[in-house]
Amino acid sequence: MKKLLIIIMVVAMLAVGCTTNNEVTNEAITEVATDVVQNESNVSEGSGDSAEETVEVMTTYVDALNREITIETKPEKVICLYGSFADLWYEAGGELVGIIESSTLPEPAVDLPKVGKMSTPNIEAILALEPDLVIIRAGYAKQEELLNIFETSHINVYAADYNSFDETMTTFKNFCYINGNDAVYEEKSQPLVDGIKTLTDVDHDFSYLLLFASSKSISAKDDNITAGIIDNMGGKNIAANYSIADEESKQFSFEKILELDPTYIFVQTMGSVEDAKARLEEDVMSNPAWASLTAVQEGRFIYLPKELFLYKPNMKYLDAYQYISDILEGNN
Amino acid sequence: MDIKDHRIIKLIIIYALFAVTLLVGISLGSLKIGIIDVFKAIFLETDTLNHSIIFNVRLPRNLIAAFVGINLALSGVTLQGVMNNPLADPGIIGISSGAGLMAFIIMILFPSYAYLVPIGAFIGALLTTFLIYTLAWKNGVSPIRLILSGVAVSAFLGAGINVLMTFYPERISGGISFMIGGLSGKTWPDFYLIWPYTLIAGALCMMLSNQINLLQLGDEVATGLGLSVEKIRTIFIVLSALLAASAVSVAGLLGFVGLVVPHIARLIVGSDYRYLYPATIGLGGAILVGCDVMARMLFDPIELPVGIIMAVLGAPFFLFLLREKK
Amino acid sequence: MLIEAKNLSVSYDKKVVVHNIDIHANKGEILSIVGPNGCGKSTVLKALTRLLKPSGGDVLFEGKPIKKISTKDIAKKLAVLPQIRQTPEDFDVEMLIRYGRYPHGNFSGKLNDEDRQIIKWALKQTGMTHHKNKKLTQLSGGERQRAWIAMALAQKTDIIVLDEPTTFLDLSHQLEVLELIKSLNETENVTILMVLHDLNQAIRYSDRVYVMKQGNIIAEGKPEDVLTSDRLREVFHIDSDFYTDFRNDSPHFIPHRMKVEDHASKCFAKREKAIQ
Repeated sequence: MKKLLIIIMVVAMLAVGCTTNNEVTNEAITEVATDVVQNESNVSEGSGDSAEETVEVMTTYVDALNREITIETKPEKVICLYGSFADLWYEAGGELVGIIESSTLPEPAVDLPKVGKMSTPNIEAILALEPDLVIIRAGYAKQEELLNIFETSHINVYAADYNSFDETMTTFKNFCYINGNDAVYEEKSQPLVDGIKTLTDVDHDFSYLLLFASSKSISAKDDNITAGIIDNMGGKNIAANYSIADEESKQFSFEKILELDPTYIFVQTMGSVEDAKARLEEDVMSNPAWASLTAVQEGRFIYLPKELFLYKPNMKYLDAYQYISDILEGNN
Repeated sequence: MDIKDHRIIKLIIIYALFAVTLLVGISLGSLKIGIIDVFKAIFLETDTLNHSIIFNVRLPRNLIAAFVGINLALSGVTLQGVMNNPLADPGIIGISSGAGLMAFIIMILFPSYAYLVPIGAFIGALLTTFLIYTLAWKNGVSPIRLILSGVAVSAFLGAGINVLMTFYPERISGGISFMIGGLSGKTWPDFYLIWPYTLIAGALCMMLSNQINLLQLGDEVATGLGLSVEKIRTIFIVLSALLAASAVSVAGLLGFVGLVVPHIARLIVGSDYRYLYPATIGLGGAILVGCDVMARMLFDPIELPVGIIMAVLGAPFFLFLLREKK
Repeated sequence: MLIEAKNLSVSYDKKVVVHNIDIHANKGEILSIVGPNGCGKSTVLKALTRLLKPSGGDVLFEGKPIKKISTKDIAKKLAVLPQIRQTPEDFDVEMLIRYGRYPHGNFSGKLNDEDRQIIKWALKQTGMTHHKNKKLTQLSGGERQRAWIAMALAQKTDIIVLDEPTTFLDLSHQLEVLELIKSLNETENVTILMVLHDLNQAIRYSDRVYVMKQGNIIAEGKPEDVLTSDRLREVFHIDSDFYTDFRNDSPHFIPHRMKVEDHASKCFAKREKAIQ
C-alpha cells in the first residue's frame, strides 16, 4: 500500500517536472544573459563619466528585476503604473499616454487616461491604449503578475524600483537613454551628484531616531530612503542594531530610547498628518519619559515634509539633503 | 428509464449553462466588444487590439477559471465520497496549508524566485497530503484518522505561516494575495500548468465512478463486494490532491468551490457518482467562470478577487442548506 | 468444508477478543453463531469473511488460505451482509442489487444479459420486483433488509454470511427474512452462516450452531443438542424451560429467571410465591 502511494507520488513529481521544465530552463537562460548584460551596462556606466566624447547607443537595459529589455527606437506610447516613476520619466523627457490612478500625479499626467488603481491595474484598459512600453513597479505582486500577458502581447515592460540615490540615478539614466535624451542625464544628474557630495563632505556625527507614523501605527525605520539620506549626512540610526518598535507590536521600547538618548528625532508621516500626529501623541508622547529625552528638550524633534521624505525624491534628492543639512547646521 | 432520463436532461442543461457562461465571460470585459466581434477576434483576426485582448487576456483567463473550478470541485466531491463526510474539501488533506506555507516561504525568504511560486505551491500541497496520510496510517487509513491528522498538520503549518508574517510584516502582500486567490494576469502559461491534470485526473475519477459509489455503501459492504477499499481510497486521495494542488498553484487558495459546488450538484442529480461527477465538472466550471465575470465587471474597472465573490455567494448558500436539512 | 478457521485468534489493539477457536461451515448447511454480547461472534464472522485480519491462526476458503485469494475472487463465492451499512440517500433498490454483480463484472460495470437476468431473479426471490425503483430510504425495515439480501443474492455466491440480519426488525419482518433465508438454502443450496441474537430463531432455523462465550467456543452441534437448559444457564445466566414447538417441529424455550443478581432473584421468588 505504501509502496503504491510512493510510486504514484514519484510519477506525479515527474509529471510536474515535465510540464514545468520549460519555464525553469527559460529562467536559467535569462539569468545567464542578465549576467552578461550586467557587465555590459557596468562597462557603459563606467565610461559614462567621459560621456562628453562618446555617444553611446544602448539598446539593452536591465531593470530592477534584473530583466533584460531591448528597445531599439524611442517608445511612442508609454503607460506608467506608479506616480513617482511617472515623475522621473517626465524629468527624463519622456511622454505618457496612460497613467495609474493616484493622488500624487505629476502635472502633465493629471489629464491622461487612467488604467485602474495601483493595486488593481486594469489589463484591458492598458492594452486598449496599445502601448509599446509599460513601466510597472517591481516587487509589487499585483503588477508583476501582468508580466506574462505583456510578454504574450509583445509589449515591453520596464519593472522599476529604487531605494537610494544611486539606484534612482541608474533608473533615471535608463529612462533618459530610452528616450534618446542621453545628454539630459548628464545635465540633470551632475548637479545633484556634486551638490550632494558637497553636503555630505561636511563632518557631522550624531545619533538619531527615525519614526514612521501613520494613523494606525508608529514604527522605527532604519533602512528606507530617508534613513539612507540621514546616514550619509553622518547620522547613526539607533534602531540599526536594536529593535525599538515595529508595526506589529504595540510595545514601544522606551528603555532603549532613553538609554541611547538620540541627538535627533525625525518623524516621517504617511496619510493625514493630523491623524499621524494624533497617533504619535497617543502611543509615544503620552509617556512621561518622553519629555526627558534630550532631543525633545532641546527642540530637535522634527517632522519631515512629505514631498521630500515620503514619496521618492527623484530629482529633489539634493533638496532633501539640503533640508537635512539645514537642520543640522541650524542646530550647531 | 424515467429517473435516468431526468438526470441526463439535467446534465445537458448544466453543460449548456457552462457553455453560455464561458461565452459571456469571453465577451464581457473592461473593453466593450460585441459578440460578433468577439468571434471575429478569435477566429479571423490575428493582429488587432480585439484579438490581443480576447486571445491573450479573456480566453485564457476564462479557460483557466473553468479548469480551476472543475479541478477544485472534482477534488471536493471525490473527498466527500471517500471520507464519507459532506464537509470535506481539499483543505482537509492539507492542500491549503501546504501550498500557502510554500508560497509564503518563497515570497518572503526568496522573493527573487517569485516565479517559482506555482511549482512550490504544488509541491507543498502534495508533500502535505503525503505527510497527513502517512501520519494517519495505522493498518490502513480510516476517514476519521485522516481528518484528525489533517487538522493537526494544517494547524501546524498555519502557525508556520503566522510566524513568517510576524517576522516579515512588510513582505507579506504577495503571500496574502496568494491566500485570497485570484485570476488576474493569468494567461496561457498558467493554462498549460493545469490542463493536463484536469484531463488525466478528471478522466480517471470518472472511470472510477462505480468504485466510489461502492464506497458509499460502507467499507465492509464494499470489501464484501470485492473492492480493495484501502487501495481505492488511496488512489482517490492522490487524484484529489493532484487536482486541488494544480488548481491552487495556478489560482491561489480559492475556498468554497470544493465545498459548495458538490452540494449543488448533489441537489440536482443525486449522489450516484456516474452522474454526480459530470454534473460537478459542468457546475464547477460554470460557477467559477460566472464568479470571475462578476469579480471583473461588478465594479469595472476595479477588479475584485474572485474569492470574495465566492465567499459572499457561498455563505448564504450554506445557510440555505442548513434550513433545508431536517 | 466450505469455509474453515483453525486456531483463529483476533485482537483489537493488543486485546485478544477471540481465543484460538476452530470453526467450519459445510456446504449446504445453515450455520449460526450465538452467544451473549461481547462474546466475539461478530468478530469471528469478520475474520472469516476477510473483513478483519486475524492475529493468529488461519482462515481457509475451499481449502485455500483466504489471504492468498484476491478480494474480488472471494466476493464471487462469498457474500457478506455486515451489521453496519450505509445507505446513500438516493440509491434505489435496483441500483443496490446491481452492485451485487460487481465482483463478476468488468471494470466499467456494464451489465450483460446474464447480469440482467440475475438481477431480475434476485428481485423475484426477495419479492422486491415491484419496489425496484423505490429509493432505499423509502422502504420499510423489512423491505430494506430484503433489498440487501437481494444484492447478496445477485452476487450468486456459494455462501452468504449475515451478521444479525434480524436484530433491528420487528417481528413480522424478522420472520420474513428468516423464511427467505431458509427457502434460499433449500431451493438454491446456498450455504448460510449467520450470527443471531434470538436463540429461538437460531434453534428453529439452523442445521448447526456454535455457542460462544468470552471469545471461546463453548459448544457446537445440532441446536437441540447444544442449546439446553444447562447450557443457557451457563452461558446466558438464565433459567429456562423448554417446550416443543409442534408447528415447526423444533424446541422452543422460555426464560423465566435471571441468575445473575441476588436481589433480582428475590423479586422473582416473591412473585412465584404469589403465583403459587
